[in-house]
Amino acid sequence: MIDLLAAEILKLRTTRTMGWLLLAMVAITGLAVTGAVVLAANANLDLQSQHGVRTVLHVSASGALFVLVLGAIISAGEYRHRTATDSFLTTPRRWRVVAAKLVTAAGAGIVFGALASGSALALAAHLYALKGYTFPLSSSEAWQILAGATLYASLLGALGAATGSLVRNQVAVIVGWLVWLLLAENIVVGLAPDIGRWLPGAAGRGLVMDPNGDFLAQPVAAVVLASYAVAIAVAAIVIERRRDA
Amino acid sequence: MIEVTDVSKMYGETAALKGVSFSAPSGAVTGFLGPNGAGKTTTLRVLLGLARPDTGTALIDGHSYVDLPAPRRVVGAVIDSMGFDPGRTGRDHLRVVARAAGIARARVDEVLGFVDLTAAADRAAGGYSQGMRQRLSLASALLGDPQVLLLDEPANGLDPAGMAWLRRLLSEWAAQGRTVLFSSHVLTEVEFVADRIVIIDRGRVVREGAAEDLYGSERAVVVRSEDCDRLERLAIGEGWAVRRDGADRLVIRGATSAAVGSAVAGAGIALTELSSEASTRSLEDLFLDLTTAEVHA
Repeated sequence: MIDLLAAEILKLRTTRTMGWLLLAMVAITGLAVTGAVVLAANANLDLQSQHGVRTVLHVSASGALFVLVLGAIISAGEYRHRTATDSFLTTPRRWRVVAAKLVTAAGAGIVFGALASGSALALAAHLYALKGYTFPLSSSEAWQILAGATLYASLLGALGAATGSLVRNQVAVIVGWLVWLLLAENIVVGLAPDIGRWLPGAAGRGLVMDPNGDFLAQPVAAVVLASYAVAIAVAAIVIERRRDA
Repeated sequence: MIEVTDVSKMYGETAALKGVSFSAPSGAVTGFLGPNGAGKTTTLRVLLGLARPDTGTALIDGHSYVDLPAPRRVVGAVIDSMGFDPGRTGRDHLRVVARAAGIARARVDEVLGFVDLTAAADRAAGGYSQGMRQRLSLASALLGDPQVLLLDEPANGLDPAGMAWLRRLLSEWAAQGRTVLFSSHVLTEVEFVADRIVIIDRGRVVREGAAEDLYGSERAVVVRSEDCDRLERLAIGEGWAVRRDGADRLVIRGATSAAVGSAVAGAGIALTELSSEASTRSLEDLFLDLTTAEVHA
């Protein structure tokens, strides 16, 4: 399994895809944080209050969708470039391949998420100073949000990898998740909020402590989102065992 | 040693394999022949654990592929469904495979040199010609220094020099006591190199055996003479199978060219040609007799 993980990481390091996605994620995070500070300041929100910090920092997960894309590329990308056959020849026990990709995507998500969160924090502190505020670095909530955003990126990576193993088509995975997260889930949440808060997108908003709505508590949200990833990965493994490569 | 026993495989309503059985012993090159769509690739995919058979077993050295603890070190395979990330270099592709299989990195440079790809190794595989891709696939198959080689249409995309190189490789590997099974729909490729032949058609093995038993003995002697009528009577008198081919040409089976030559000399018939017909023809005859291959003009 160590060899498999090392090979997956080597795969990521030997193409340019990962670098571009990371750049895009950090750029989006920066835009989102800047936008949040400007909007909050214009609305005369107290930036130093707990609500202010949540309003600004919860958007540091905005770029996490790029990790989902990375996860989909890690798994379904192998079908696009027809390298899946090679993987299964090396590792005929396919659950190992699915698991290695899930772990790799989650691990990459932690790195991506930490880098994005770090940039979000640095940028927020800088913007606070510009607006004449001092960023409350001692606020435990700020660190909780950033940890949540990092975990969110990791879990989205796992979701992308798991769904990619199941569906084997990276475009379908990416488009499917975008439609779900940006459109379909909002409709469900609007119609049935009690069910809606348990859905992946809403769980993610709980994880990053989004102040705009009634979301799951952070630990519950983490477990819920991880459960989705694991459930989809298990479904992928069960189907993969019967499926021809 | 490869042993396929009674393997059947349905794709929906279509039976791709209907009880395929054959073996490919170690120390020999076995050619797996069949028209397009006969089931060659499906059989190889079953052997490699990529497709699941509905019935039957496909064993490599007594184990099914998925039970091999380090499959890359036992079996090297090139099949059509393998590709490369176009943005990754050839060397990095091999490094990835080696890493996953726990094969030493030094082996990557060895196989690159072996398939003559060293110069192109650090270029993105997306820019490779088809022949280079084929050689990269072969390099990937050879990484684990396997005892068994399974190659699906390995000559596709190779130029004549590459073909000659591949034939030498296969013969050398078999001479080292390894097992080589390769599929092809091009008869000359098989004929030049295969010690054993398995012919498959519409999901069934229709003939299996040593190459010389299957078609070598059918080698024919071709003679031409202005006096072809006398020649024909002579050959029939000798008890040979004779086919008249045009006004002055005779195809004789069941005799060596030496026997035909001395008989003709004894009868004092002047020949304009005496040749042994290339055995391609007879493998082709065998193939066309046994299979439903379309004949393309």
